[in-house]
Amino acid sequence: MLTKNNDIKNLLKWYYRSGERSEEPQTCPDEEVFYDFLMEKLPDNLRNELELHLLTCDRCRHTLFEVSALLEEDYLPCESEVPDPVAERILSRIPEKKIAFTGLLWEKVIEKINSFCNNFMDIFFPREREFVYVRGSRKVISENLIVLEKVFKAIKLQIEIEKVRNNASDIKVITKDPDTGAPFDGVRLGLLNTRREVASYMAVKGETLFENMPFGWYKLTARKDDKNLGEVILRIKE
Amino acid sequence: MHLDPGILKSPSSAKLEKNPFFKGFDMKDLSQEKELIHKCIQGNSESWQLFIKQYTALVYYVIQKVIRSKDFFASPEDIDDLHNDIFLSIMDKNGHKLRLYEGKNGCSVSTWIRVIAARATIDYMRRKKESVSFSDDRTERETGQKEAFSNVFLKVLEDEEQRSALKDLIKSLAPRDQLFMRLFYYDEVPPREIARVFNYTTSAVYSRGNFLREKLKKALEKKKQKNKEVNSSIYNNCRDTDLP
Repeated sequence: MLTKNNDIKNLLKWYYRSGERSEEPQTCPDEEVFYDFLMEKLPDNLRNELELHLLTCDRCRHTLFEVSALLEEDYLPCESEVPDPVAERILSRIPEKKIAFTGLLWEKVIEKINSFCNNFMDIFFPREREFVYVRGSRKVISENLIVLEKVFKAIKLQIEIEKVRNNASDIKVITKDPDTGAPFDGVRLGLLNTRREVASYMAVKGETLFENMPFGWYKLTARKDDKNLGEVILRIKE
Repeated sequence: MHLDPGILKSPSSAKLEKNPFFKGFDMKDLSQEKELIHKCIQGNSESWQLFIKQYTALVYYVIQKVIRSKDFFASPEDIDDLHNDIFLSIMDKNGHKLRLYEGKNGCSVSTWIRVIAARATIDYMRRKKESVSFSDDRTERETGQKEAFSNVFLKVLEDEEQRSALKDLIKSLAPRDQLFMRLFYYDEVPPREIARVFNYTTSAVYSRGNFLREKLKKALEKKKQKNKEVNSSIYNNCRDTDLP
């Protein structure tokens, strides 16, 4: 009895197949536990727990052997091993620093109060419209077409205003990166008249078109991720 | 003794200096690694950039290594996606996973990343193939062999009492011995690999295997002997009472 390895193998085969050890695996341990186990740094009780878990969890048993093999070898990282697009793709996904929720909430509240106060005061004391002081240029391409360029810190706006009929014009806005001049995508462009938002579009391939806009005062806003990138006040007239 | 390559076998500073990614950042310094992690958790984009550049090659290497070790086929696109998924899982929820890293007992970030990458690759392989395990290899080997259930030993086990005795015996072993038995006799993991995991020498693995087999054998024989005695006494008792 039990004189050959085959005997004990069969015995264990029967044992593991008999369902005696088929309890559901518990939650798999954290990554550092594997290191501690391999380095013999786990306290006895935790080590026993892990060993019992390993008996039933194929995934962790597998991980343990792979990690032990990985830790044994000398490895020198070399960035050339990773294809450039792969590294670039993940680098482009780096999260931007987020402001704490309370900070964000406070910022919103202040913005709303300011906006309310301004609108309220405008009723009693109408103000002269203030233009945004930015670097800009104006080109008259033809009698019916004017091109404006406004450069902000984070965005460059090229605004083409073309008269399409009496008292109406198309407004094409091209968004660009201020440094490289490349199309700037993902920007929401809003057009507001004195009372409300008239239209709001997302720039596709760096372009947006507002069609058949009646002549008058407008405020063009460029926003991305709730951040105001720039505003331009336009007055379109005959 | 195992050395942690993350700390002791990391590239020399001279080699690091040549690599623009690692300029000014010493991987050997655990406190510096922890500081980097801390800054990443705070949401510092530059730190995330450094973190990715620091470990991107390692993650890629681990994926390829684990896939190769199991003779698994994965397309380059799959490997690229897996690489990105691993980093995204670390960056997800404002670095939630990164917060789990404690670095206690000298576990370096690179070692921790190795475990994460290895585990993710195993999960990937398990998803692709229903199961990739030592048990799979064993099953394949078994199909080529004749089932040896007919041996004398297992005939003994037909008795329910013997079966429960065997279960009790295995359960009475220390968890480490149970795991050892499973790996050595059931999963048939190469002794060299078992030695690496348990920190034994290869010859110690064989000795341990023999020792446990003998232990089990003696315990079963003892149990069998005890049962024989009980049975014979019952038989004798019955025989005595049956006599006129």
